[in-house]
Amino acid sequence: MPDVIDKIDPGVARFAEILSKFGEDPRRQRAFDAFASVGIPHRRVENWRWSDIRAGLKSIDGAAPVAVPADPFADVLGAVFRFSDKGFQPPAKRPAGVQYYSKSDAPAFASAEELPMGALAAALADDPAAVVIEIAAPLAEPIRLVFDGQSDRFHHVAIILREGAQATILESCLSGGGFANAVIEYTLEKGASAERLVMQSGGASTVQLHTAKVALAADARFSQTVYATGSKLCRVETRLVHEGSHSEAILNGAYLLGDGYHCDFTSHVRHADEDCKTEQAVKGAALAGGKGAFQGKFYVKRGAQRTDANMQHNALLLEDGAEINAKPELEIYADDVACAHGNTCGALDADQLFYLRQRGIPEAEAKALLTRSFVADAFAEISDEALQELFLDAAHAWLTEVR
Amino acid sequence: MLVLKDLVARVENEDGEGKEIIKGLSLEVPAGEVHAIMGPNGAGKSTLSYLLTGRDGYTPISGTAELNGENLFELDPEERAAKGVFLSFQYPLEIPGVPVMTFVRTAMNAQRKTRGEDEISAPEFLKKAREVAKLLKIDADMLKRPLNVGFSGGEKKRLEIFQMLMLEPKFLILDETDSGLDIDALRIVSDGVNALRSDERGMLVITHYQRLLDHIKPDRVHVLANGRIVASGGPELALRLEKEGYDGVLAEAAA
Repeated sequence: MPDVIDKIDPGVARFAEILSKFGEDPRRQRAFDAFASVGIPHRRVENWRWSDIRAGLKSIDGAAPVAVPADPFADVLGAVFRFSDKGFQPPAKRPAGVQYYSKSDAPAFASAEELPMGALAAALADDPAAVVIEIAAPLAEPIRLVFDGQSDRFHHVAIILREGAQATILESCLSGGGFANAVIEYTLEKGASAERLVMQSGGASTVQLHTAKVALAADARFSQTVYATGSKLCRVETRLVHEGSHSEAILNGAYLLGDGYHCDFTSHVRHADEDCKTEQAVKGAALAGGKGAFQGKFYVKRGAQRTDANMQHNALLLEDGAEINAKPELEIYADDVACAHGNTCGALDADQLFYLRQRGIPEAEAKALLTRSFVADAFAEISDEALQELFLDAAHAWLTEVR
Repeated sequence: MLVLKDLVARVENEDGEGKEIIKGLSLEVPAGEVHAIMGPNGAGKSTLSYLLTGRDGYTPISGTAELNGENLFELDPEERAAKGVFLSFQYPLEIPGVPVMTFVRTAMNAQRKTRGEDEISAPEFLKKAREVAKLLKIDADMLKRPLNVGFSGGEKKRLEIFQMLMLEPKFLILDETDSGLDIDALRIVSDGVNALRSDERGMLVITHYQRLLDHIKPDRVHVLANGRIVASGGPELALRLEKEGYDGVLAEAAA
């Protein structure tokens, strides 16, 4: 038998110490073991090549935090569930159609092996061990989840949409410092519909992992749009399973990265039943010193006939010295499917740039406008016009702000 | 107004390899006049329009280009635009995610800012946009759509004229504005251009065909061939070209 003991990452010990304060807890232990069997991922670990957590955590060790970035959703209506290093803060008033529970005992985290860092968040989530939000009806207003703080923190949230329920969930993923690791489980029952909009923003000395696990029952619809500007090391990961037939998923997003910023969009979509649909449009742009990664996988199970899945990733290298890596993957075991993927990488279009400048728009503003233009497709599925505008404006302002 | 003297210019690719396309071109368009430039393919017509508007890769070697006494070649493209130089593109670009109205307002305010003027107020801008759209028979819905995305060739040209009427430039360069237009659209576009004719404005109308000049009547017509103006005359020159083709006029010029 191989000796595994000496393979355990010494960095794991730091987290084992946090775990020990919970005493005997088999559920936490099981999640932690799933994490510990992999250890802290680094660049030689498959799937983490472009997100070296070990190096990231080392580099922020002892770094002074900065102010938490402003919340782009601050002015949007809706009940706020706040998760921070100062503990959980529920909304002042429970919205109609919504129940929520703070769990003092950690619930089990299924398929921990597939999401080792998500498992770590579930193993160490504290104050409370988990928050479960149940939505039983179509909601009039969005629900907001705000994740913020300046020191190490772990969160575990479960969101359940009962049969026929509908909701827009806005997640603000903000960090001024420390290791922010959150895992959110979305369960959509038959015919439920969720729109998930995520805004990520972090300082240059924070590591952020924001992982979602999504299960779709028959006829469910899940539409996700993420906007990220990265941090020292940032990974936005979505693992989605079409468990019932005729479910639909949209996994769109854009990441825009300045010098010293990193972001990794990773997604895994499993088509386990027939007639399901997945659409994915991801756009990424980087300046010199910015590092982006896209890893997308569609897995079509044997028998998942008439799967319709399309993955597009477009990268824009705004300057020499920008780096974006992409790994699109299809793994298909059914014979009657329509699956496609496309991946491009380019620079700003010189013709478009000249057109804008000829109309009197100075070069810097023209580039900002073209950045907005570049990401537009990735934000096209946002159903509310004002929210879509919020995303587009953020992308438009990015280039001017980051310089 | 616009004075070009002995212009020589190269077109260069990204690696700096180039070719001389404009080979000693002189031309003067006084304020209040419309001049047409006609010529065979490859004569340098589009090159001239890009050279005057400052596109990368279009490099003046010698000679001068002045607008109201100011050296155009010392200005960035956006500065030339703010001075009032407007190019109606032969192939207008598509800009996804940027609605027509947002685009035009951004351009208008950028130009005003460069000139040290105040921004236009939202109600004032809307009022003007409505008037211009009506004149050009442009649907209000179209102005909310991303610029040129999914528009037909004719719609794109109409949008160029819309931008022109909104921005009220001092010197207009129309690069094959008639291409892709049916007869009705040609009339609407020409009416739009004619609405801008004034004693303070100059226009350079680049075209292959005489038919545009039936609608936008030029004061002078120049024939551009092999990077030079080889013949100039009144509107009758355009009619002659239409009848005899370029060969006859060029042979005469060479003689």
